Amino acid sequence: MPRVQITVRRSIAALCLLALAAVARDGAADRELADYRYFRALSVDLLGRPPTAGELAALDKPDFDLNAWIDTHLAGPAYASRLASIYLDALRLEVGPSFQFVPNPLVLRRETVLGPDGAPIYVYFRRGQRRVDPATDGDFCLTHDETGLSFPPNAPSLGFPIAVSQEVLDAKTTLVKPWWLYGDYRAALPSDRISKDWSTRFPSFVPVPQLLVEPDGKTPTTAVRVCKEEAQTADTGNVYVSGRPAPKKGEPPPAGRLTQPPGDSGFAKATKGRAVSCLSGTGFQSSVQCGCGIGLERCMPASGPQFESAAFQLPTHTPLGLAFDASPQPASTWEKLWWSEEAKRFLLKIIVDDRDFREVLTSRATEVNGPLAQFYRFLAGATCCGPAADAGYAQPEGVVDPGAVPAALVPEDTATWLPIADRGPHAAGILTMPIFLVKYGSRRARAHVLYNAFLCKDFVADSVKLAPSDEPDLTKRAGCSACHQTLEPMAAFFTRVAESDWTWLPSQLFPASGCAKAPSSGLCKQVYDPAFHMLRGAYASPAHVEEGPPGLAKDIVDAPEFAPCVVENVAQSLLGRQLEPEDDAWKTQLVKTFVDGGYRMRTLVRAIVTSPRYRAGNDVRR
Amino acid sequence: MKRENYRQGASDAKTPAESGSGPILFFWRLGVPGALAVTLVFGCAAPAALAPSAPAPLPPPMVAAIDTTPKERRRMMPPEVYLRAYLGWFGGLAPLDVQAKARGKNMFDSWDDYLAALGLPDYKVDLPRQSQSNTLMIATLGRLGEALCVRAAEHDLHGKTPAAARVVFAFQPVAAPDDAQFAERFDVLHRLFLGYPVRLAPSDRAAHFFALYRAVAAQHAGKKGPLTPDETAWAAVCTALVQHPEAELY
Amino acid sequence: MKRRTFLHVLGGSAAAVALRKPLWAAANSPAASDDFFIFIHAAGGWDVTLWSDPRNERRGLVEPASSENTDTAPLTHWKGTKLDGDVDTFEILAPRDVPMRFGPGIGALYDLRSRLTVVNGLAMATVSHPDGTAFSATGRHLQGGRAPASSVDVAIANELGTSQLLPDVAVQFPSSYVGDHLDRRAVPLRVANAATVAKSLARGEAYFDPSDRTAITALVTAEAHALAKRSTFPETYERIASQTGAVQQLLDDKLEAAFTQKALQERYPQFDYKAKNFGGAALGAAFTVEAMQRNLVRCVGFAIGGFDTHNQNYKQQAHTQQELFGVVATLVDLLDRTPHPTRQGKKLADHAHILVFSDFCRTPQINLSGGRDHYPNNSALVISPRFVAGRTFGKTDVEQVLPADAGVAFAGGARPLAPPDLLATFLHAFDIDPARYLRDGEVVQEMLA
Repeated sequence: MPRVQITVRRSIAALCLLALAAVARDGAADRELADYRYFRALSVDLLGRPPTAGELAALDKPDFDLNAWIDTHLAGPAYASRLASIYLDALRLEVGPSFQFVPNPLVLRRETVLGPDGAPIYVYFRRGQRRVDPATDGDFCLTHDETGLSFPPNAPSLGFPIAVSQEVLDAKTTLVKPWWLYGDYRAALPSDRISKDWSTRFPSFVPVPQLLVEPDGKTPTTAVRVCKEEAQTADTGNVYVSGRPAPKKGEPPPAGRLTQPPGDSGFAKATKGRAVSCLSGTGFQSSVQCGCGIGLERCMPASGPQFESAAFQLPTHTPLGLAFDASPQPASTWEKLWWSEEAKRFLLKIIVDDRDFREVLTSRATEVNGPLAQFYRFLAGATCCGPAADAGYAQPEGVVDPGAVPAALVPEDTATWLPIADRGPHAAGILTMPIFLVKYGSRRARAHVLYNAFLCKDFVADSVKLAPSDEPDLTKRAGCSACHQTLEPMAAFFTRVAESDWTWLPSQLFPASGCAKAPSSGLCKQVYDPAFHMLRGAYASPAHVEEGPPGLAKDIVDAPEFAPCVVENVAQSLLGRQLEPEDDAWKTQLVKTFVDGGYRMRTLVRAIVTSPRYRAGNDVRR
Repeated sequence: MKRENYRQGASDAKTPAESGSGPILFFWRLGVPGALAVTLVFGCAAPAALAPSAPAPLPPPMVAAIDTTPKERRRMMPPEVYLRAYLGWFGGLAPLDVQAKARGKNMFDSWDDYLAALGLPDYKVDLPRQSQSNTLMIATLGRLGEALCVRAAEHDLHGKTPAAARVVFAFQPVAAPDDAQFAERFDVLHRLFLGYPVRLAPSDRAAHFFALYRAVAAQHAGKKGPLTPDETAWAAVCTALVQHPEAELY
Repeated sequence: MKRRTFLHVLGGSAAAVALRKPLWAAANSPAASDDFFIFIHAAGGWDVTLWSDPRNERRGLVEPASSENTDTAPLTHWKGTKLDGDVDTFEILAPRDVPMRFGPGIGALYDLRSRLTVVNGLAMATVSHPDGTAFSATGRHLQGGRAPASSVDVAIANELGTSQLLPDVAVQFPSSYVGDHLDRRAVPLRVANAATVAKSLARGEAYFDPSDRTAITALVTAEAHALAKRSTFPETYERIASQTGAVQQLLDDKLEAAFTQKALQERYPQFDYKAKNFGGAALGAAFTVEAMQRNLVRCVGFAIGGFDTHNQNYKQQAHTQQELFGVVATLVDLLDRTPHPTRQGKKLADHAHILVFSDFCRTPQINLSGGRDHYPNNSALVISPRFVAGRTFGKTDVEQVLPADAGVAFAGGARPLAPPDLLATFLHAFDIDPARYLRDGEVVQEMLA
């Protein structure tokens, strides 16, 4: 440390000693301005607010033990929030409207038809739901003839409504007490209907008013009418093949429909009659027996026929974890909110509990509340399996084992958080949380952000000339290789995790090399890369494919840059400035402190906030 | 002169090299000191024996000036900290409750209108956190500060709330305070918003704020308003402190 | 005093002096300007083959926009031509009056083609959203996740805007203010939407008089100045002092009434405030015109989203571009008709300069989800009296739409254009030394009028 600064600091120390001596005489501490400024900075960084009058009064007392105060507050939620914000700023784990989570299996849309008495009634349905009747297969369960209305996709109905007969209603629809209205929806006779005390029991769970009342706007909804197929509760169904020939080009849809009924996929024809999971998108597309489950718990409500109709009053901003606003939002926003909360809570817990910080990347644990439990148990499989079904993949395997998810949590229970000790063998910290996997949808984007945030390194392609080339291997292609030599092998760790999704591609069905089906098949073109005859993303490192995200997590935390990067991020944030070359010795010392302390934040932060550099940030001379 | 011309390559004078004078060239290349040294060496008689010379001190090492100026800067209060403090100053209410309480008489709109201006990041659209103040941020702090201070004045002073229940104006007000009475009460606000006693502030600070107090009280004397002139004056002092640079920085 | 200590103290003093100088130098700079600058970020990465670098043939990697992958109904400039079987693609717009070619996404700007400067073939060397955005706005790639240089709007505000009350307003625009050598008044005012400006300036009338606020502001400003005098690094306090003063001036001028959402919508009904993607941007554009004609700002930046079409949403890409350029065309029209606040007899358009850019462009091939992914090429649009208009600069190769040699005599030899070149040219157009703000980039004189 430069001599001038040492001299100044010794002077300040001497003054402090004099002041303390004065205290011993008079019985009250004669604090200097630097002391108050330091205390205020500590309060801002460790308590998340300036000190209160009472806290300043305590500081004034001669027996005030600042070190003990620091140690006490290196454990609170505000300190954790302060540190978590460093990584949340780097990772930005929230997604906006540009990412839509509206798979047909999940979205319960709502149409309004006239009941037998001529009064409007709501009927819920899923677009794409399989039905035996070709007039309604894949569409709303009531026809134009029955309702007087046509139901275009994602648009309000058209036509002049006529009263639907009771006979038709009884044949095609049923009444259900759904999860968003009843806390005990799994009971034989649900009775715990949504009421005022739910704001205490289930804070943040606020369905929009349109979901709670009948079309008259007044009568409370006690049960919802839903198409019968959607009300089915079986976990599995049988693959259905309609046998309908593919429509000829220009052929109008049958039975007054606006769209053609679904055809029979190759998967369906190949597996006709076989059991298929109703928790998967493939099951939804292939079986007439797959519904929304008990209390419609596998589906999310909407207040209209569009896929993003309002469902819940939700905040768009939650700094401090509190709602600063609220507006009607679709159900997909509800899911995205809780994905984000899972990651934040995970990060906070590691810091509050002073756990090994490497667990941010390596831990298989997490905590879930009701909405997240619903997601992992019932909703996550809805995006599976697309062309992967051609490989016989119809039972989705996620990065979280649904069996590990607490079954007792009801979807509206936002307040109760229960731990999951082990999400499963594919889990790795935030790397396999839904919010991370959708925020950074591509394998390369996932690798890139981790490279930045946890190794403090960048892929910077300065002044490269990108010439046209047919070289598919980016680790070799001129102009690309400089970055992709590192990026591709890192991205390969995510080969088995679907892009913009969390579906896992198991090795038994999807060998890294070689596609089992015809090269022209969807499987071989979409899941496999025709250029390399390997799973997409695998070519740069087949070994990494099998290690998966846990392998990348291990590589990152074992890298020599990891600890210095953490130290740099935390120190820069607390000092409010970039570290300079003359901080190198101090940084090296902090790295040693951090590593020797078991990679725990508390030790590191304590070392920083008690350092002269931190104190000098508030020097009165400045 | 000749050497300079040679360097510049723009001289008509011939160099010694060009004129072909070898010895002169040799001396010329040595330069004057060198030439002198050679002259001394060859021009003086050699001594009978060589005596060791005293060791000359080593030249000092090159000292490169390193910029050791302090790198520390006053940091801007993170917007989360400001918001947490703000909610606390409003009595620990939830944000939407503060919004409801602060509104009325055009004192507040909604949090949604202010959060981005306060510098909060928006991860959904990858808007980064702001680490420097700007005019709009200052304007927003002013708006929020006024709302806080007038509502606190209404609650603590006008509402004659017991001292224990007050958060901001935690003192017993007096009408038309003198210097000492003002300073004592000002110290309470100074500690709350700036985090240190006024005795450690620049010596004229209390006087400047007292001048503000008196000016505002005089401005509102005899006028009917939701607050008395003294209460309005305290609200003004509070507003100035909330917007003080030392409140925004740490 | 020992020599080492002396050197250290000398270094400190020199640094302090050096730090002080730029602040006051900017304040006293004689380079006044009454030009205005509008920066628009088309967030997400646009498909250049639909507007600036049109492709309607299957060649190499190129799979053109067609009736199969594009919703053509709302496109005013889609004139179908056969691609393959019963699949149509678009006819390229090749006007006779300017040597430019456009795709249907150009929308209403087609009618203003003689005023456009299009730059194609910008070498991005990135396909990451934040990195591409930073590269386009600052001329540098991100480092450590942070922009290592100030963005172009900040540079302009620093050089030409410090005399304005609001030198630089960023309505979700990716501004970055980096370094200690800039005038603190050039810190961008970042807001979520334009109407927030009015909300922050609003003040209740029931408790404080204007004179009370003036007194409060004067006190706070005086305190800031006093702290500056006592501080080793006064610029933080001086910045706050100047910003506090600017707020007072804004309050004195009662500007909040002019910037409410209602006021802006009523004054500028030409914009479509209900458009799904562009309602916010329309408000930003209205704010821009109002703030300029009141001579409050120097730079306004805003962002328009909806271009990141990886999936079936690619069907809307052309329409989204059409809407974007519709906003720009309306903006230009308003600038044409609005008087300049200080130059008598002139319109704002005579002294307004627009730069529109995106993160990067999209792949020439359609992906397996029916959309287009990210691609390290880009185009940009300039509308400025200081640029050669009715021209396209830069090019891409025929088969892979990658940046090709621009035909510009760069110092290092032939190469494609890159964002630093465009930014350097833009700054140079206003007599700003690009080297003050850009590490890379060369001025392309051919672009300048």
